[in-house]
Amino acid sequence: MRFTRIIALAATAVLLQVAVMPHFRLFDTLPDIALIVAVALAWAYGGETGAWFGFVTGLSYDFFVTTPFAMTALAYGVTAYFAASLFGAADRRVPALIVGFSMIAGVLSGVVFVTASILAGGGGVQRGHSLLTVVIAALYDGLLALPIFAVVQRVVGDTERARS
Amino acid sequence: MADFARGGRRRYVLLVMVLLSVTLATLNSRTGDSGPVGTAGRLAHRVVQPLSNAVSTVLSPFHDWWHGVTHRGDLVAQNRKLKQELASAQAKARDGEQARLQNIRLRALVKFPWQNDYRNVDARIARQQVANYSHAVTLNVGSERGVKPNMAVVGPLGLVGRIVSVWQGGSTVLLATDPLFGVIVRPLLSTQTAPAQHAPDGRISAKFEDDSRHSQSVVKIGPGDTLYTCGCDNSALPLGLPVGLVQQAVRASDRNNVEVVVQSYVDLASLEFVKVLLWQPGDPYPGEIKSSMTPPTTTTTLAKPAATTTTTTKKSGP
Repeated sequence: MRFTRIIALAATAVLLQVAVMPHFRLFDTLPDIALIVAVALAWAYGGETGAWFGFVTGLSYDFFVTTPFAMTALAYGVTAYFAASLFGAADRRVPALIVGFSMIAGVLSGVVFVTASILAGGGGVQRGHSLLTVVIAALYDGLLALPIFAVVQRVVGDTERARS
Repeated sequence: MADFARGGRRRYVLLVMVLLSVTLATLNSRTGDSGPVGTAGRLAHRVVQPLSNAVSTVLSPFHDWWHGVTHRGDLVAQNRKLKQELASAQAKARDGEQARLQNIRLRALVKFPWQNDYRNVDARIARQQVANYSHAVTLNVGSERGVKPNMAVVGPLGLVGRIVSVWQGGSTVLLATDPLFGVIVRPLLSTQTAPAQHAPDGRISAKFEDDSRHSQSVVKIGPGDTLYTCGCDNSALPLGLPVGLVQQAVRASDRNNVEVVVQSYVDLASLEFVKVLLWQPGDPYPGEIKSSMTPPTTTTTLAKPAATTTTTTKKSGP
């Protein structure tokens, strides 16, 4: 049952990212909805769940962009994996931590994506411009983190109990 | 012990993800749009497109509101600029008939038949850029209207981009503002060409070869000139599409090149409707395009190297 909900959550996150968020760009930058959901899952259910969720949603997102294929998947997966290790012990009920960690996850994801894309020959990713984009996207991620975490917790259930 | 085993498994997961990404990236770069990744991508677009269209329609007022909020500074500046332009236009309009006739004469002099002479299909931008690091938009026309990869997409002012993937009911356009987008450009009445590429600052730069033996530059390009697609033999884009307006043309310090900075004609914020030109390499050019873009036949006699140049120019007929 929870698996079905996670699949529905993944589909919704990708659709939001692809169809809705382009209408709400902030300084010409988009947030990473699927990444924040992956981080929320990783924080609650552990690195593996978050990482696979991030990888699959990132891969779905990669179909809609012209950057090297599978690089978003790698960035989301790796970020969610490390998010579990870095934030796992922190108290998930503190809103400031959620916002802060989401921003850190946004920066980490952006750095992994830009580095991997450059290595994969993605000339479209420009170093100077990318740095600014990473920072703005991370801020936007932080801005949306609280409602996304709340939705994830509501959809997937009581994360504390699930973990224990 | 259990923790150790779990830690090992987690590291294994990370390794699997990295290997999967590398494999998929390699598979996609080798097979391109015709491979399994391309097929899956087209399917994903076909599934999402109707929803995306519906969302665009519903969110249109919110989009405009959000754009107004987040681009307030730009809007104020644009409003001020438009007011100045309006005042200027009103002044010009007072000249009335004379200006109109002059306009007709100028239009006859400089023909821009690039848009409608090519077979084309009208398209609407169904989805704006969906990523932070790629400059691409989705159109509402696809293979059902004869759209194919590498076809040129033009807006009211000129080249917008080229088609990179097509499916039933839609297509993706790589915008001319993407650093991956390269195009060979030339001035209107010249055969001199140069590869142009987008720079991080948002402008296009091109480097025309110049002959350092001449005291004066043989590349005749200046600010205000328009650069066009060259339609060279190996070019996927047709001849004569305006690419951008020259802002700066400077002879390089080695005197062998003229470096040109061009402002692209892509204005994504105001772009909603475009045309896909159904021209493909090997197709004949429309007569109008050919005659308006043919350079004059030029015979150059060097009387004294690096001193005097006598040039006889004869306009070649279509």
